[in-house]
Amino acid sequence: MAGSPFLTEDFLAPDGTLLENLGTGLVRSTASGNNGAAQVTNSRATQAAATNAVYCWGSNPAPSPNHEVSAKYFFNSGAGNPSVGVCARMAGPGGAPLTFYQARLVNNSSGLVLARFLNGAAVTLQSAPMNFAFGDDPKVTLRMQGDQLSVLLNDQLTLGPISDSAIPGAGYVGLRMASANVNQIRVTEVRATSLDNGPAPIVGQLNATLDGATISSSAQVQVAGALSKSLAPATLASAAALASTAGLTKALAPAMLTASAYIEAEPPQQDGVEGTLSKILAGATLAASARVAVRGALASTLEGAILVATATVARSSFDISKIYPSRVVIFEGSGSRVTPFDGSGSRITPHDGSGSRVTPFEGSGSRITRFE
Amino acid sequence: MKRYYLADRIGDGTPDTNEWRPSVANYPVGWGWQCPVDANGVPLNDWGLVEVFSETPAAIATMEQDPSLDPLPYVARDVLLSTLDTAPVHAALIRRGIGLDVVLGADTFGDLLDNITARAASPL
Repeated sequence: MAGSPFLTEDFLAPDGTLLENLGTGLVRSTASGNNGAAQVTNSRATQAAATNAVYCWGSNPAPSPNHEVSAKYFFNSGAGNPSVGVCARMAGPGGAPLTFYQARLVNNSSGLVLARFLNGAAVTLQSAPMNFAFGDDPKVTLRMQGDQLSVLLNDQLTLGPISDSAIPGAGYVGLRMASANVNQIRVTEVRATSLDNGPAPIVGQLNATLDGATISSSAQVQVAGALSKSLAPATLASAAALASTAGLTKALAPAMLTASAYIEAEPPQQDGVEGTLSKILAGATLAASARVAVRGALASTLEGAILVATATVARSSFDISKIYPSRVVIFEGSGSRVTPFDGSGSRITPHDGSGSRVTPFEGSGSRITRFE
Repeated sequence: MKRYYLADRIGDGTPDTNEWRPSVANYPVGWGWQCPVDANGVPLNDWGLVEVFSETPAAIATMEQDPSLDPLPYVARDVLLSTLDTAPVHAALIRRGIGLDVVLGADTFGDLLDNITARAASPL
């Protein structure tokens, strides 16, 4: 279903980081019994303690009631009956009694469930028994269009549609983890997409656009074709998003990404970049909490880039796990090549396989430490 | 073709462990219901109209022995009620206080389902 993405979360942070410290707007509920913590483990969200954990993206309300939110799960265990779900039309951050719709998986029990929480009381609206084993990574999507609710499992309609009008407002998107079986279900990623008709996406090529442009809060650029030379030297403000379904090249040189802005490249999906992502961020500045997530090829990036505070760049398969303001930690495979930062005090630490090459710049104080 | 039941509402609204749900939830089938609630989220009825959309013969056989469940005719929505034995439906509607007007005012089985859904939202 076509739509405009308005939230992307990949839980890119060091292990042990609480979700409220990711810098992506996640807010933990303060309601009694639902104020447990969730944290990052191997770039996935997981419940940190037995107390139920309820979070919402409090700085990013849904643009309309008609949207869908999906989560990619990872079963760290097939035992027990942990309960983890995505929530939508949430009443918002704070200590109010829980109010939202939830699509959850309860392993070895009620299976896939659509539930409604209203002032803290819950009704199971639909359920289909199913079990998952260690290593399974199902995707659950909660779709809301007016009073029609449905749940998709791996993009296949599984529950609904069913009519329910108890919670009509747009609200917020969030997560709820509720189980004594802590850490058995992890969440790899969350995506939310508006289902209202927005501006038509650009189907063809988009070249040399946005020179000097400013993309303000919540604005989005989505291109079905190649996107090149864009955003030089554009500014993406908070919550702005840039996605392309083809190659994304030469973007963002020397653009600035401010807090919560993000660039995303993924394998073929409805809201990602199918092709490679190259030459971005040359000279770009990523401010606190800005993120770049790439699951395709990532080449020639970060030459001269500045990553501030908690800015993060990650690549799939955990090739690149963490980048700090002047330090890069890279886990590289065979044939890899790294072009490090230029600048005083920068340091690169490759943990590499055979055939790797490192080409450092000659900046004052640059240092390369190599582990064979 | 889906199966429909009138089912007791069970649970107390406690999230996860004892949510309000129909008694069909005690069986390994896929099901759904509409559960109208008041402003505090409390269900309006102690019963619900349940649609079962995935099942096994064993589960159905067991369910049909459960006194908390009243199976409705297993027919298509456009079947005329005049061609069905509706005595068990009448009995269930009376026992649950739903009112016979939902069946007396229906021509087809689909009409009956719609009338029961409307009655759930506006109880007698």
